[in-house]
Amino acid sequence: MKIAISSTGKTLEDNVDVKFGRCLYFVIVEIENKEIKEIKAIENIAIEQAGGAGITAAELVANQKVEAVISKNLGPRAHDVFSQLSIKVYQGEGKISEAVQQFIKGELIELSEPTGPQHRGMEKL
Amino acid sequence: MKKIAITGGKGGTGKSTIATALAFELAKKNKVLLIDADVDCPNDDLILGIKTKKVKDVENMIPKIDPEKCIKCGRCSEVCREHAIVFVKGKNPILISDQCTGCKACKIACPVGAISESKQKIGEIFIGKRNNLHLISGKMKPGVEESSLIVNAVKKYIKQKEKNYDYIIFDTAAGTHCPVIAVLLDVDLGIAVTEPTPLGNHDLDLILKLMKSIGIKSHIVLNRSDIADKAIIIKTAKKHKIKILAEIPYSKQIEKDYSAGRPIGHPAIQKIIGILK
Repeated sequence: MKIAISSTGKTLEDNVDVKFGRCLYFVIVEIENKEIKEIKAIENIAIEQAGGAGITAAELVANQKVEAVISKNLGPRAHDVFSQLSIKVYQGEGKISEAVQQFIKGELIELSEPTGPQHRGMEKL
Repeated sequence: MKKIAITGGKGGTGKSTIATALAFELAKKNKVLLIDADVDCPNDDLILGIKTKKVKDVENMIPKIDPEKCIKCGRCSEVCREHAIVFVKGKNPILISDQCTGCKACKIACPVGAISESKQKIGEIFIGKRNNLHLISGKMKPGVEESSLIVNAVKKYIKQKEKNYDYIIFDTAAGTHCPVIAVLLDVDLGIAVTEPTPLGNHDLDLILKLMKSIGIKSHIVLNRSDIADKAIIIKTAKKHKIKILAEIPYSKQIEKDYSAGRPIGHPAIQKIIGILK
């Protein structure tokens, strides 16, 4: 399965970005038999948008055919997109490599509600 | 029948204070309709002590996508300026209804007619009265993207009733954006309420430019005229070739009336009435 992580950089050594819609990159990790098979990073084009960044970012990630997403926070509109697409979102933080291992072990908690209001990602978190 | 907008650019300059006082004074001898077009935070009813009741829901079109007819081409998502339709290849498009402003572009763009019209509530209209003074307030549902939709719904609601009044006074929102423009497009005269501060002056310049571009006559009312040097306002007024119609110095009594939720009485209101005749 493929998962996407909101990230501060392009590698597993970078951190989970606390923002979703306005994170810098998404690291896309393909997991097979509980092991990381492939890694790639995509730039988050939504970061420049004045509004609706969460929607664009969620669309970007969904088009990567991911089944799950890891982020520290998630706004209401991105949450709406993922729940309509049945893509699960898990809360993670710290180094991406560690968050992915926690995900594989089933240790991350699913975000069933948005973590904050709209436009939260425009603040310095 | 005369239509007047009380506006000003900057928030907190006294637009509602002047609008309610003017409506209250005019209603002593005329039939007056005050429209609270500050639909994000309507509160003229509180200042006038008028109990309002809801008469109408304001609804807006949202698209309804038929998953059977949809060919998953993504055209609806491409044309959506608000990005309210999310398209993931191979799946049916998803509507984020809060983001939708009801422009219908998706419906027009859909090549197979899979989009029909549905409705969502975006606000409410309230009415109330005190003798000859009638009040209509538009109230936006918090989180709605476009507040001018509510202003336009209020304008539509009063269309048939306009002829019953001698004066219609619009109390606009702050700023120079869509909900303010929606009011200014439909009035004979705009009164810009400002204060002698750099912020008040800056936003006054903007609202006067806006009224000029729309082509309506404007006047300036300088509120709290003695809290700072009014030279900056005089300069802006000169630049726009407009005289300051009335000045209201800072007064404890006005503050008290405002705090108690009472329309203020001040000679400046008579000056405004003078130019309306």
